[in-house]
Formats: sequence, C-alpha cells, structure tokens
Amino acid sequence: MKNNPVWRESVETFFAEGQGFPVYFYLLIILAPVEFLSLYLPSLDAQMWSGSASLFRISSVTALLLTVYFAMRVANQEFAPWRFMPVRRWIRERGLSTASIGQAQQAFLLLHAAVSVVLCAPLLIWAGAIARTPLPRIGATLLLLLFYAFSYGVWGLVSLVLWERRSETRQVFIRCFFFAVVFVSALVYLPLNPVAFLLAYLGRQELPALNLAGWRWPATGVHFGFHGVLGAAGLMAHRWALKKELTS
Amino acid sequence: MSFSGRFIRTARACFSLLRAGSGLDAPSGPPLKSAKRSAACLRIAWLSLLPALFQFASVCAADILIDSRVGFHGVFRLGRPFPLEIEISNSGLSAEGTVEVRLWKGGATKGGAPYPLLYRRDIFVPAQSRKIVQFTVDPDFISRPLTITFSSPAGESKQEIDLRRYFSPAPVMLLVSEADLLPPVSLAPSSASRLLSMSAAELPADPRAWLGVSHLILYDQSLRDLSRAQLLALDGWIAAGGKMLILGSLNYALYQEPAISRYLPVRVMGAKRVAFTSPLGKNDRTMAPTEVWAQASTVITGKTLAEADGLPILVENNRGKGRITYLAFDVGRPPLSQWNGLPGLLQNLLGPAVTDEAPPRTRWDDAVFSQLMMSPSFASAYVPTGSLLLAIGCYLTGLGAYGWFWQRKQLAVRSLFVAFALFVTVATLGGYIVFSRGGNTPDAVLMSATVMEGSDNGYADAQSSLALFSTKIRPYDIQLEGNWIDLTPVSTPVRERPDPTVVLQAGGGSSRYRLDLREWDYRLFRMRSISRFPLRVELEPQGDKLLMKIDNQSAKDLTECWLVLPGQHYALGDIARGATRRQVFPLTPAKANDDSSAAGRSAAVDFRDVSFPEKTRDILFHASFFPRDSEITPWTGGAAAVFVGWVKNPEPRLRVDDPRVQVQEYALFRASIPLAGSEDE
Repeated sequence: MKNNPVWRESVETFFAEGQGFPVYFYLLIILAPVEFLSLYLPSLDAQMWSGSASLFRISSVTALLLTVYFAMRVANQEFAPWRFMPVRRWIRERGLSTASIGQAQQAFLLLHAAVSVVLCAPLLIWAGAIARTPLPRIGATLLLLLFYAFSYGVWGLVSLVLWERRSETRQVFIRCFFFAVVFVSALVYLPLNPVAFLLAYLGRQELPALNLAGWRWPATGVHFGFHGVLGAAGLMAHRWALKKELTS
Repeated sequence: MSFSGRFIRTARACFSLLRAGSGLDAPSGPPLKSAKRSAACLRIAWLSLLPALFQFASVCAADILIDSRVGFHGVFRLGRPFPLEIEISNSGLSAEGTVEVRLWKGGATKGGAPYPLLYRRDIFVPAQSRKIVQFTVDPDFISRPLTITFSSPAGESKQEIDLRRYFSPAPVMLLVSEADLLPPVSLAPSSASRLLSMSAAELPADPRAWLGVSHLILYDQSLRDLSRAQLLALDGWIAAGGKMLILGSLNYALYQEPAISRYLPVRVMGAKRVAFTSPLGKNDRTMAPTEVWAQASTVITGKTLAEADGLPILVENNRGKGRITYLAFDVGRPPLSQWNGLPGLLQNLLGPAVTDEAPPRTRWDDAVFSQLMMSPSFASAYVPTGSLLLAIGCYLTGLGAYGWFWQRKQLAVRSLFVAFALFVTVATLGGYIVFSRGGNTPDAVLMSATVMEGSDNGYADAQSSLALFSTKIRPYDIQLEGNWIDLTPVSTPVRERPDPTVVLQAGGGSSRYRLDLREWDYRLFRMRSISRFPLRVELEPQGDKLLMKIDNQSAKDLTECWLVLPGQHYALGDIARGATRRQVFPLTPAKANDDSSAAGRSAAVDFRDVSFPEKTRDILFHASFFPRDSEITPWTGGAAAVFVGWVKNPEPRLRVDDPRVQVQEYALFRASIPLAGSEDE
C-alpha cells in the first residue's frame, strides 16, 4: 500500500500538507461543547433528568453522526478537491488498475475513520468515566463508530467515482443518502437506525425483534446484517463504478 | 457454630475413620484378593452409612416453628403502622438465621406500582428454645398476604398471614389496668373505635407501633415495670398526637412513682372523699352520688378544667401534638362505679376520635427533585464540571499545538507521530482515571429537606423530604436518627425500571434502610418526626400595627428569616439561639411594601417575593415547601401570617456511615400564626 500512488497522494494531501485538518477541527469543535453542555441539559424523558447520566450517550451519538458524516465527505473528496488527481487520469495516464485504486481509496477511508475515532476517544472515554459507563461498552462504542463510518463512507467513494466531474451532484447525493438512510431506517424499523441502536445498547434496553415472513429475527442481528449489506453493497458499487470508468 | 458446619465436620470425621479402616489411603502395593475383598466390604458398609448420616442431619437440623401475633390482640388500625410479634420456636439444634417480614407498599392507592418492603432482623435461636422478635410494620395495602420467613443455613420456614382478618378501619384505644375494677367502657354506638384491654408488659416499645392507637387509658396501674424503650415510645407517641387518659384511684401511691409522674399534670398527695360534681359541668339526669373518692393533688402543669372541694378534678395538659387528661375520681370503686352516668362521663372524656389536623404537606416528587438536580449548585456536588472543562480545554489546546508543530515541519514526522500517539494515550488514560476514580465525585448524594412546623408548646412536627441519588451501582445503608415516626418511599407513577426492594434492617436499637440503586438512579422518601424545638413566635395586632415577638430558646441559629403577612413580606435576617426579638410592623400592605408590583396583588400571603441567595434553598422553598398549587393551607386567603427561617446546621435526620456518600441537610422552621380580624373572621 505504501507504494500505491493514490494512497500516497491522499495521505500527503490530507496529513502532510494539513488539508484534512479542518475536518478534525470541525469534529472536535462540535463534539467538545456538546459534551460539556450536555451536563447541564435535561433530556426528553423525565426519568433521565440528569445530564451526567446521559453524558456518554449524548457524546457518543454526536460523535457517531459527525464521524459518519465527515467520513462520507472525506471519501467524496470534498476537502481540497483540487489536490486530488481524477480517477480517469490514474487509469489512463498512470496505468493503475481499478483494484489498486479501489484498495487505496478504501484504505484511506479506513485511516480517516480511525484517526477520527482516535481523536474523539479521549472525550468519549472521559464522558464514559463520568457517566460510569463500563469500559467494555465504551470500547464497543468506539468500534461501532469505526464500523458505521466505513459502512456509510464507502458510499462517498461510490459517488466520487460515479460523478467525479460533477461535484455538486456528488455533494447532494451523499447528503441525501446520509439523511435518507438515517431517517428511513428509523421510520421503517427503529433497530436499523444506528442512533437508536447505539442508545439502546448503552441504555441496556432490549430492542424489539423483527417479525418477518413468520420468522422472528433478533434486532441486533438485523441491525448488523443491514449495515453489513449496506457496506458490502457500497464496496461492490464502488468496484462496479471503477470498472465502468475503465470501460467508458 | 451453625448446624451445617457441625454436620460437615462430623461427616468428614466419619469418612476419614472409614478410609483409615478400609486402607484406602494406604500406598498401593501388589493386589491381594483378601485385601480387595475387605476393602470392598468396607466400602459397602460406608455407603450403607450414608443414608443414616443424612437421617442424622435431618434429626439434628433446627426445627423451626413460626407463630405470630398481629397488632394489639389481633387488631390493628388500617393505614397505620402496627406491632407484629413473631415467636420463633426451635425444637432442634441451635440456629442462626434471619427473620424476614415481607409486605407490600405502593399500589393503586399510592398512585404507583406495588413494591415489596422487607423487614429483616438477624437472630440466634438456641436449641430447644423460643425467641420473640418484634417488628413495626406498615403495609400500604392488605390484599396481598404478609409473609414471615425464618431462613438459616439449615433451612427455611415460612408463614403467610392474611391481614384482612385483623384490620379495623377506626382507631384503637388501649386500656391498661392492673385492677379488674374498672367497669367496661362502652363507646358510643356510632363509634367504630375498638377498646382493647392490655397489660403494661404488652405495650409496644416502638413509637411507630403506637400510631394506630388514639387513646391510652391508665387506671390503677403502675408503670414501674415499663422498660426505658417503652417509656420513650410512649413519649414519642404523645408528642406525635397520642391522647392519654389517667384515671385516679384509691391506690394513690402508684401515682407517685416517677414512671407515671412524668405523664401526670399533677402531683398526687393522697386520697379523700369529695363532693361529687360532674367534671364536664353538665347536669346529669342520672342519679349521681353525693360523695366520691378522689385523689388529692396539686397542679404542676396544664389547665384545670374542673375542681371539687378545692381539688383539681379534671386537668388537661398538651404535650407536643398530644394531650394528657387526668381525672382525679376513682371511677372503679363505689359509689362512682355504680353510677349510671359513668359510661357517659368516660365517653365524653375520651371524646370522638378526631384525627389531628396535619400540617400542610410539602411537595416532593420527581418534578421537584429534577429542578434540584439541574441547579448548578447541586450539580457541581456530583459532576466534575470544572475538571471536565479544564480537560477539554487542555486537550484541544494540545491538539492545536501539535497541528502548529506539524505545519512548521521543524520536527521529524516520526517524532511527531510518536508525540501524537503519546499525547492522545496519556490524555485518555489520565482523564479516565481522574474522572472514574479520582476527583470529588461521590458515590451518592443524600439530601434531606425538612420543614419544622412550630407549635406553642415547644415541639416541632418535622416533615422531611429525602432523596438518595446514586452515581454508581451499589447498595446503601441509611441509618435513621431521632424520633422518626414515619418513613415512606415516594411512589413513582411511571418508571423505566421497577422500584428496587427496600429492606428495613432492625436491631441494635436502631433502624437502617437498605436499598440497591443503579448508576444515576435515585429514590425519594418522606419522613416525619416530632422533636423539641423551643422557638416561639407570637404576633399581636396593635391598632394598625403588628407586634412580633420571637423567642429562640432552641439550640440552633436561624438564618435568612422572613415574616410574610397578607400582601407584605419582611426580611428579618438572622436570629441567633437564645435571642429574643420584638419588632413592630405596619399593617398597611401597599405603603409598607417597597415593591410596588406586590401592592397590586390580592391581600393574601404570597411567597413569590421571598427569595434566597442559595439556589437549592430557593427551589426547595418555592417548589417543595410552599408550592403554588398546594391544597388549602392555614395561610390561604390571608387568614394567617407565616414566619420562616432556615435552621443553621440542622440535626441530621439520616446518617450514612460512608465517606463516599455526600449528605446535604436543609431545614426550614415554619410557624403560621392566625391573624385576628382577618377577612374570614
């Protein structure tokens, strides 16, 4: 991967030149005040009046939304887009295979998600300590953030390859995709929604199972199955889009 | 040692003997047929002994039988605590175990889900003996049975009691008399009160057990044999509103004993025949005797209501919320015992069982507590807000500095990467340790907010609103202090999780509440107690002025005192212990008040303009002690003036022997004084 020019370009642009630092700045500058102020804010439920009790939950949900949203935008090359060489040129001029381009883009998405989670980790772990959340649950939450960021972020890569020259289209697509998945999943079957699932997990609540075709599917299985399929579909669509770029 | 331990040791000893006999422990040598055969025989013998050993165990086990006595001779007043005497008979080996009484609180009448309350006491019952354990229990409803369990390592015995067989909807009266002379006191046909005759030894030793009793009648009875606990319980009951009727007797020496003298409003000196006059001053149509036996005495305290031949015949003394009435006549001996009008006289003395006027209830529920929890002064007690702000600031500054170094490219990438990893790791771990184990975050905050309702006789009826708020999963032990007469968990109508089981552990002369709480969970309680608090507040209208006299003979200073009159309010500042104050206030609301907006309000007592610098006090005052949506109160409609003052360093109502539990005590003294010539009058 080290010698992959697409990977090197992304890493240099984002980290060596510091073009990606604003992403992390936005992430932390939103998360930190939300975390602090949530100590003073009552929640919706009268029985959960205490901000400190919900501190980790509120911080985790905020971190989840921010991580996923920025992962999609980073994958979509919305930050310093002029510094990235188009996919078509990588293929036509540099003779790179679609597989190596795809791998590099996915690896960089994973790196970005990991850096985001690492940067959020101290704030989340402090919140967890104050809210007396058990360490395994804090660890699981961090892993969930990584999982969601990648599952949703690959759709940013799909839009990047599909509409590389139409940046506005890409931006509209990923925003619509993000909000549609979050809201529709909540409307269709609540356990599909990542926010609802995370809140239920942290609140040790039992989510209702899905009764479908006479079968009773456990909510956790359905949730991870859905997001696994979503991520896998994104990876397949990314590969298909790259191949389409090669043949066009 | 418990039975099980003894049995195990015996079995082990038998087993080792058999092993030694069978040669099972011998080193294995060349196999011999005879040796094998004998070993097999011994094994069979050992196996055949096993059932016998178990039979021995069952024979030796503690054989427990539970017997119980509910209330006062099988009667208790519904809705009030009552005594429950449990007799544990052990016809086997000695047993060490726990007596547990399980009953139900909450339910539809309390507006919440039913939850069990356990009363628990550890006891040791020697072999072939009996032990009596006394509890004071207070179920909220009796449709579910009360369960008594004795559990020990040797086994468990259980008894269920259907309380519906024992309750009385009306108060219970107790008659204690050594002599069998007193004619039966017939109560009015309309009265549902139950009169029960008891011996002095049967009187409860817990003031709470008395709360279902309206009157105690003493006649020809020595109280010398009452235990200190029984006397204290009697004191507590009278202070809480109990009524005692002491009837005189020819055996006047009994009335000169110190035990009964503490209750008598007179000093008894002898007995003599006096001309009979009805103590109630009524012209009885029945044939009244001309001369009767009466005790000769002098009044020490209280009010003389009737006299005969210069002797006090009927004396009444108020103590706390209760009353002691003394009748000097010997009603158990002729000629008065044969008088037809005697039952009527006794009925009049006992009076109708009127329930005491309870002080206005404070409001204490989730909504009030939520306000408290969200107030910054309370929140800072359990949340390290300052530390978190500092940590976030340091972390963001550190990352900013790191970005700056990175942009300048003065350091090697490798060094910067290591520094970044180190910084994030140290920040994460350090913060986690500080916030989870260090800092000042307590395991729980125990809050007690008390309103002490002042009275003329130096007693205060204290209503305490209690909250135990836990920041982590753990059990808590709360020790109840002082003369508490009622402690009730507040039922929550809707709750995510069912209310945890509350255990009342009794023993060692004290009561402890034990309950488990989850993290960020809380439980609310209400507590009532009667205690001495000699602070007198008097108001005397003088034309268009009002003279206020305050005499603080209590051991506590009062701070931030206010006098609230219809349409007016005055800040009085602090009143130190031992201090007296006289102050005159004008009775012209509009002119007297600086706040012009208040002048427009109706001439009712309005607490909205009373405020306190400390936020918690302010919330407690306006949301809990004087809620705007409260029921009719003495000050509603401007019929009374209200004096309030915060008690400095109040006596603790509860104690938790745990430094990780932070205790916050608030107490407000309140006295409402009727205003003569108010609108209602």
